[in-house]
Amino acid sequence: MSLKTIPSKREDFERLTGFEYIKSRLNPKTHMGQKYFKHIQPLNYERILEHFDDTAFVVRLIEREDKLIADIEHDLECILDVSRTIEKITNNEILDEIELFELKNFVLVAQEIRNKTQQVFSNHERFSLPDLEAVIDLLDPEHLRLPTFYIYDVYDERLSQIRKKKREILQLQNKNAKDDNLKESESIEDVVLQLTEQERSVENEVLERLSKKLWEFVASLEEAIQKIRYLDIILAKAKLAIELELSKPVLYSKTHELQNIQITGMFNPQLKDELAKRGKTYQPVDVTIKRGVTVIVGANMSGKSVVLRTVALIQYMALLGFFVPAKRAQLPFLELIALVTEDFQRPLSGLSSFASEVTLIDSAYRYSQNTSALILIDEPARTTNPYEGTAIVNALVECFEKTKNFVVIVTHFDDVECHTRFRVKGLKEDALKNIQSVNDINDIQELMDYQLIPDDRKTVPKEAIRVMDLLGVSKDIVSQALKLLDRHHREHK
Amino acid sequence: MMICDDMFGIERVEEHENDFEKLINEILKRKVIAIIGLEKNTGKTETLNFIVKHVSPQKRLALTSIGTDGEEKDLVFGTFKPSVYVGYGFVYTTTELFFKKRTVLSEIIHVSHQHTPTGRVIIAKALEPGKVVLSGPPTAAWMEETVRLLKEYSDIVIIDGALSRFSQATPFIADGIVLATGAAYSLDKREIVKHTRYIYSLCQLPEVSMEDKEKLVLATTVHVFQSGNWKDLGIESALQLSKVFETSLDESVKKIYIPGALTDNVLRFVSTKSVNEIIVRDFTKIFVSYENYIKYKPTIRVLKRASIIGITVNPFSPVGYVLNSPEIIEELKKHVDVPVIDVKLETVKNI
Repeated sequence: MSLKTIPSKREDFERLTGFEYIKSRLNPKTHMGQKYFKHIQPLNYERILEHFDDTAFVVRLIEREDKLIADIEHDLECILDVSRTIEKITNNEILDEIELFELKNFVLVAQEIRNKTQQVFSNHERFSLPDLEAVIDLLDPEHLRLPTFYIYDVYDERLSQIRKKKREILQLQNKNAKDDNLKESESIEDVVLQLTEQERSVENEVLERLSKKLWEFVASLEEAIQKIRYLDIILAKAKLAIELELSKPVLYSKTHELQNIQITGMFNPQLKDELAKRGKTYQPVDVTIKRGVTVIVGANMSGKSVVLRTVALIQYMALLGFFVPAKRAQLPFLELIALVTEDFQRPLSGLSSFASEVTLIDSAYRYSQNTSALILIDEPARTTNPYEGTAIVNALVECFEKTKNFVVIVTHFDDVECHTRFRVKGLKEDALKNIQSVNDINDIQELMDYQLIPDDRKTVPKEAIRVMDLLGVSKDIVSQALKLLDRHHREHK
Repeated sequence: MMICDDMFGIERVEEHENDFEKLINEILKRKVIAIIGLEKNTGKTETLNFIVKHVSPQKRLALTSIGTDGEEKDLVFGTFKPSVYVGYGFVYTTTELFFKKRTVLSEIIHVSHQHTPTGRVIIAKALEPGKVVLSGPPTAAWMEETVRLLKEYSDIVIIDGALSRFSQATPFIADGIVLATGAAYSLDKREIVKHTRYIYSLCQLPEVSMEDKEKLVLATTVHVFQSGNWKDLGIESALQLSKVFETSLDESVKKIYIPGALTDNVLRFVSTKSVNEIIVRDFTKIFVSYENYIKYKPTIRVLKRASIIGITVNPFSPVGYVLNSPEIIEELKKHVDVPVIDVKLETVKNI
């Protein structure tokens, strides 16, 4: 069983939820870690909990032992990816000197990491590297513990003999060179060439023997690679958690039948970052999503889309074993996350926006019949007329309600029947008193209260007209709109 | 050293000897030497072997090269032979292809992540004397990184330059340049002298003031000096210069900094403007032909001046002619203030 997303293309889903940004902030040190995050896959429930626990452990460790962690990170940067070499050993292929050089480098650094992690990760099985001393001895027969390699004399006594002879002749050649005896120097060159050929054939035997011998260590080498990779991944996750102020979510297993998704102090890391750059602060919001359908209403520019995207991001991050951008989050283990929202990067993907939207909604609906899902739909049918639109949204509410999944629908339509309704609090009344107009669209952000509050359907939405007014839209239009709105409301009463 | 007393007069040999010692002494003072050849077969390899022979008793040497000299042709014809002599303990760079075929016992010290057409760059230490194929990073930036590593294992790094590509001789990497010239460039003595003098004079171009240097050393775009300030034009190549000049610049521009190549076209264009000083990073960025240089007589300054510490002459042309090297040397010495030697002669004398 694996996680399904809508849009099904992982790349599109990660862009829409903002996970792309999260990825860009990750800084794994090894090539293996970089590869892991590039093609990251959701984990099973037990793995996720391991990642959570280990990330929490490393976060505490970074706070306590920053110097040691920096050292380990430096070692990780020196780790060469030798998985291809180990594959060759497994297949009984013969390694060359360059591969042995890299393997030696790897085991020396791995052993160094082992020594460092042992100090602080004592008894922590998932971080404890195997002892590679025997491999090091094999590749460093002179016990110099230097990260260099050649086929050492001690590997074969014939080697030292041949090389000694070669050295002697070369010295002789050097001495004789001045006598300018061409014939003699030519014959010396021949002898050197012959010796070099002999040397090469013994060297090849040694390479074969070494490769065979290394076969015995394949299991511990593989274990070392796998644990270094894990250490790198968890370190990157922990660093990210500290940098973005993420926290460990509570993830309930499938059997638990969690009734409410509850997120307090939720924020969007990318938006928070952008606001911080402009010297502004992000207002975190609290979200509760019950099983069944929740409808969210609210003014334009009130951050409803951001709420949807961030909820999807949090759920997705949790299923990948990441800490999440919220103070607290109580989340279910799911098999489907659907986020149906406008994709500004792909405005024309063949189908009209209405067609592609309803197709996505339908596939979410079909798929959610017999699976646990979180489905987030941003203003469905917004591009169609309000009569049909209202009917469509009401139909969605009724049908999705029966699936008992976690479904959120954001809408502008007024007549949508749903027992769980929230609205964004919207423009701050007291702040508005002193303000006639705004110069910059960004300033409206300052006037918004992004809190989600239960909606009793008693207040008439007027926020869109207010925003128009603030933006300095012609008074004729604004006042006429207000007048018509009041009349409409009176008539319906 | 031994005195050669046959075909050349004693006087000349003494002069040679003088220059020969001067050159070796200059080299011993440096950390990174780049050898650049004006043409193939101008004796670059002889120059390298010659320097190695005389410097190695005193210093730990590292040898590298920009790319593989002549790799395309020699690889196609399969006649590639190791040509550079290394002694015990020398550190050198080669690429995987050549390392696998080597005959000299060598210890691997470092393997690059990046790849060249002949594999990754390997830094190795020779554990016995012999001849190797030098091969190294093909770009100046990668070379800088490699030189930094080589310095850890040696006292002097020698860069064997690729043909007519001077980029590795940038003074930002090498603190001494040896220029190899000779009969392969031209059989006309005057041509050799003319061109060698030209390159020599480019190396002598004066540096800008410290103030300008600080302003420009990190700049990657064209800058102009206008009403007392350096202004960033935001363009990387001087090719787009004419547009900018037409729209936003006037007669008040006196100095211009060009981060990329100063070509004939750029020089021709700038010469029509009020600019009276062109600044480039260093002489390796100047690709102006001798004829245009004489025609426009530009005032060029550099951010970092190069230091030519010697010129070697190879009198043998690949087609069999032999020039009279003492004559060329004599002629060159009238115009340059550095040691000039005949490497072939020195090699012969020292055997």
